[in-house]
Amino acid sequence: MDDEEIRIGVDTGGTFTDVIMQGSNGSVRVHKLLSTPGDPSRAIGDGVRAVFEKRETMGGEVIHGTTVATNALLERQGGKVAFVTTEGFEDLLWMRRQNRPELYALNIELPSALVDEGVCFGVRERLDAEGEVIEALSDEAVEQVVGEVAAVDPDAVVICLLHSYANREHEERLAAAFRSSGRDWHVTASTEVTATFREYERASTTTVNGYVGPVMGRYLQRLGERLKDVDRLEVLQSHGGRADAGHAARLPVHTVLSGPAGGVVGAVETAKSLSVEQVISFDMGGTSTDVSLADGEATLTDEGQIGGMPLQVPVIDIYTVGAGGGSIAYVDAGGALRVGPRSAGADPGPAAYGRGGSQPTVTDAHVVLGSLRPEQFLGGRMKLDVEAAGAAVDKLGEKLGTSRPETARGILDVADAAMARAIKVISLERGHDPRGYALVAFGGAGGLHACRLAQALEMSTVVVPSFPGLLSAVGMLRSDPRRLYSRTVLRPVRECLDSPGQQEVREVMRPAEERACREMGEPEPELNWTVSLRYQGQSYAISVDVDWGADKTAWTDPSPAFEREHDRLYGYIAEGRPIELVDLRLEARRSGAGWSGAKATEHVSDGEIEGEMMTIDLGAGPTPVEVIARAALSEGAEVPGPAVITEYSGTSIVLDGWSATVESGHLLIQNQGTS
Amino acid sequence: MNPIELEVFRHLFASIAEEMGVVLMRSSFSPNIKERRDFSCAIFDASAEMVAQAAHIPVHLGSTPMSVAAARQAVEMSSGDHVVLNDPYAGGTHLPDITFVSPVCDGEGKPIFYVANRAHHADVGGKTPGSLPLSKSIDEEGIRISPRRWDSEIEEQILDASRTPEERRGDLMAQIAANRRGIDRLSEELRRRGDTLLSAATALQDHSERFMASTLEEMPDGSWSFEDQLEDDGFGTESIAIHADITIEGGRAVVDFSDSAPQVTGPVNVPRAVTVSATLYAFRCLADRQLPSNGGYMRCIEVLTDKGTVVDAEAPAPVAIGNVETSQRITDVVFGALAQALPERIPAASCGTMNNLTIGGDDVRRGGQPYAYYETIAGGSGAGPGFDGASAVHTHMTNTLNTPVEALEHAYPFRVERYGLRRGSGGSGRYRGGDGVIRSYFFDTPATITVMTERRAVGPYGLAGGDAGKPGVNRVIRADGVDENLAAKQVVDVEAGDRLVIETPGGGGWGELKNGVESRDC
Repeated sequence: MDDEEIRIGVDTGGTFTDVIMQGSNGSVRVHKLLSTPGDPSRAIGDGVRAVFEKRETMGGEVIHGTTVATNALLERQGGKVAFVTTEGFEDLLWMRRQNRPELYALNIELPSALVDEGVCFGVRERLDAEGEVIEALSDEAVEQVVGEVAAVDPDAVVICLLHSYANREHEERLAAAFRSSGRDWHVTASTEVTATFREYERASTTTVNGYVGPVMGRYLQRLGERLKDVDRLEVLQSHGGRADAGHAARLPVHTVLSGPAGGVVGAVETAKSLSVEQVISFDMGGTSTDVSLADGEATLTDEGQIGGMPLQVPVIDIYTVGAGGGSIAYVDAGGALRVGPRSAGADPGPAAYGRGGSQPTVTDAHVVLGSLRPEQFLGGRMKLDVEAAGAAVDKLGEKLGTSRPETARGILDVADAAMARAIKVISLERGHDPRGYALVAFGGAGGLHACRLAQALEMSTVVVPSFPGLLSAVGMLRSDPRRLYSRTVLRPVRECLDSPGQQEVREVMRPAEERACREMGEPEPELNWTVSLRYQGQSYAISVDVDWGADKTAWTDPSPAFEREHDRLYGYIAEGRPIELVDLRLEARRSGAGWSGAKATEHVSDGEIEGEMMTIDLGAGPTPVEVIARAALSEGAEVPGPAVITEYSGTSIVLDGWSATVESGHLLIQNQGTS
Repeated sequence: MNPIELEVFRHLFASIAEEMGVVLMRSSFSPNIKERRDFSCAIFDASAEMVAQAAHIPVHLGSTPMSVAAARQAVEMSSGDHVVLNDPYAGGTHLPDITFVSPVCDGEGKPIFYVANRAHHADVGGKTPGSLPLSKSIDEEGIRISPRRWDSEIEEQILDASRTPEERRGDLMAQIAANRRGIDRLSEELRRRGDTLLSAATALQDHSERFMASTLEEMPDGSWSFEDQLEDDGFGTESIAIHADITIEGGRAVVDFSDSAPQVTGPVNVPRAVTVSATLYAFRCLADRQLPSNGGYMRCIEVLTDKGTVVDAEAPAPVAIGNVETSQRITDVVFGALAQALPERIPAASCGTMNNLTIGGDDVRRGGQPYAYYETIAGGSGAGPGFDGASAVHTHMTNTLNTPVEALEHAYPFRVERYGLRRGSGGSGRYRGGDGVIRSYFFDTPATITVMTERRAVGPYGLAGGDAGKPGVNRVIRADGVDENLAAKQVVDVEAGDRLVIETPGGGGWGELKNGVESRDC
């Protein structure tokens, strides 16, 4: 046992901190404890010690998903940032993209800037779009701006110069000067975060890094002290890979969307253990629903945003819609039934919680129809008030002229329509047919809606993972060490194909490659290249893989692959039009193969599955169905629909015509007509 | 149709219109379309009433239905046809906006839905690059296309007319691709749902009408008037009145522009379609944001115009910039009247001009190939009861993005030297108007510049005792240091070493200053 390797996933949520430990021999231990929002590291330290309880020594690696940076940003609790840019662009962070977020709002509300107006400094220097120096950066200018920044005494310094993606020298000299000034500043040059063009997006992303940097640094230091007995501490990144704590402290901007990323990685890995690669993850919570599409791997985007600010770093492409279990149903001014985006939240919560909520929610509709069992909610910890739910639904029914069950069914149909539209955005709009994908459902209400949604979208497979309430922590456990880099090139692809052209392109990526290998250590990471291309004149580029050949010196022309993809996405090929190489992207990754194969804990069965009967309304009026406790299902067990499967963290509905089987501990629910 | 199905179908139609928009934005070539998003996509029923529109550009709200109506009237469409048009006097707005209308047909080949998209092309010919010239007739503004079936002949004509034919070819392909996507998705839904789709479209329009009627019913009944001016037409006619008399009664509104000035020599005239759009936009802002965007709510608002006025021009009056400038003033006038009905809701005037700038010349970096660049520059928004205005944002009839400086300098042979807030330009008051923008450009090769701006003499009005925002300024600073003030509308040549500086208006302030104290936007 002593040579067993240990890996621990830790997810800090608003209410609970989830800890899951897995040994290389396949053993699993889980622990759930209350979070300690004042200092999240306290619950983590306690939780990790708890899972080591029966062992003599602590060790192994901890992979942590943290919302410390996210919260610092959203609550505006970050550090004081000095912003340094090219002279003439000091107001860059206020210029944004000049559009307003809501087309028809008379009071235009823009997110407040992270930097004060008085601490933005212009430096005399200028590059052109090719990176050629128009005005050199003088030593005097460097010295002067370091002095000006020192006078305002910030916590962090952010540098973003115009066209620095094409030539980093000026930014590097400034960064070096700030770092050697003898002050304790968190210094970020924009090209250390993202070396791609579009100055506002790059400046905003870099500013987020500087803003959350000091907070994240202090937090990781505290956490490191609490976990001094483990061998290694890693942090989940918004792109679903992980990086060491030092990297996370230096570039915390990569963690601000890591919360939802853990769930998506967990969903993708769950599906993989069932040999399913095409996945739409579906995380339905109290106020909103997150959906994301994966083809063997989560889809990334560099057009992410948080709190209205763009993030030009790779993040998992997650689409959020304001419909969840707590979403309030109402009748609009024209007489149509609407659900969300207003939510009853956790307090007072849905009417059924009996805490004074009186407006009907999605959860109340489920209670009325019988799909949530009042005495078994949260394992019986909270009893649901059926009468209050019914009364709330009735109020709406009076306005609509519908009966209680009709109203409740309507609420679910409308919520489903909003969620189906979200799934269309990430699938059809991006050129993927949802019918070829499995819906992996988690979050409090995921299992209640998954079958219905799959049916509406003609999808034939639904997966409800084991430990649905711990899926994010599972995702952390399964994540790979990974770095992603991109560099803007902006050259016609035909100029990059001959031998000198290839050499030049190769050189653009050399520093990133060396940095990845240096930082990630042994064993050497695999390096995967993609390029993004577009027809000259377009703005949106399409990523295609690059084949660098065995000796990694020559690559084949990516243009045919680009045209195929363009045709698939947009329905046409612009014949004869030159193709432009926009960005080079490098992924450095060490796959954690050998771990994901381990099975989740065996479930114990007491022989025959025998469910209780209950009456629920699945859309066609009250129907008697079997209610089965998930804990009673052993590997290979089969449950034909209609049925309801309950567990501590959620309820799954198996519709008529569908059938659930337990595979690798997960519930695999398939449409009998198509499978 | 019951209230539940209504909502299910609303999502369905809206997601199709949005998907069309994604195809157009991502695969197009003009910065106007792909970066600035000056386009819109919509679905219409067989009678050309809008069923769904992706939220894009307000100026297209009321004008695309007229395009579809004109296309239907001119061409008997069958499956596979696309009708193209841009004629402001036959369903268009101004010539750079090219619209495609395509039918979705039933089993007998009869159109039952139409999909349409409109996109702003960077150059369609005319006397100056960018096709927003200081013109005296529409004939000087570029190629004029009455509704006709799309074929290689009209494609060649458009390419011939444009200074940038390759970019045009790409954008036209993207526009057709967007309509095809809409047709495919609607056809799939028709196969799946049959005639329900048709009755759903009607039900959604009726729903939206009830929605707007209930919004209007909540407003006090009465009549209010407001007048404001366009400063000039570029040819010496000044103080061109836009006048609105609004009557609200029993869930309906009548907006009468009959007392507006006669049409003028310069290109600030608009076809009626633009006036309708600007009016609908203002009312749309009063309704809950959940109001579905379709033709139903438009039934509650009647717009009256007189032929031959600046708000309902007749051919061959020039209209190039009416779409972008006069539309803003129409909005200001409608809000000015509504502020008397709803003083607790309506803000002071915003920037009131899109600060249109067109730069053209030969790109020495690309072997002297001609280029045409167009952009609009944001300003300040008006303060309102309880809120300060926002700075450096596009307001009312436009919401286009800026072109990133790094993208601009990659594509065009001039540089941006300064881009920042114009501090102190917002009108003061209990609530402060938002600040405008200062943007300056440096040229190292000769270029022709066209500025088409408004609010250069008098700033956007304040309300409830608040001050007006500062008017804008256009200047050229010559290489030898000579500083030339430009007119609000002017064509000017620049040489190597010259600079252009545009300062945009701030928004109006709201409310009187109490003891000299104002709330500050922090």
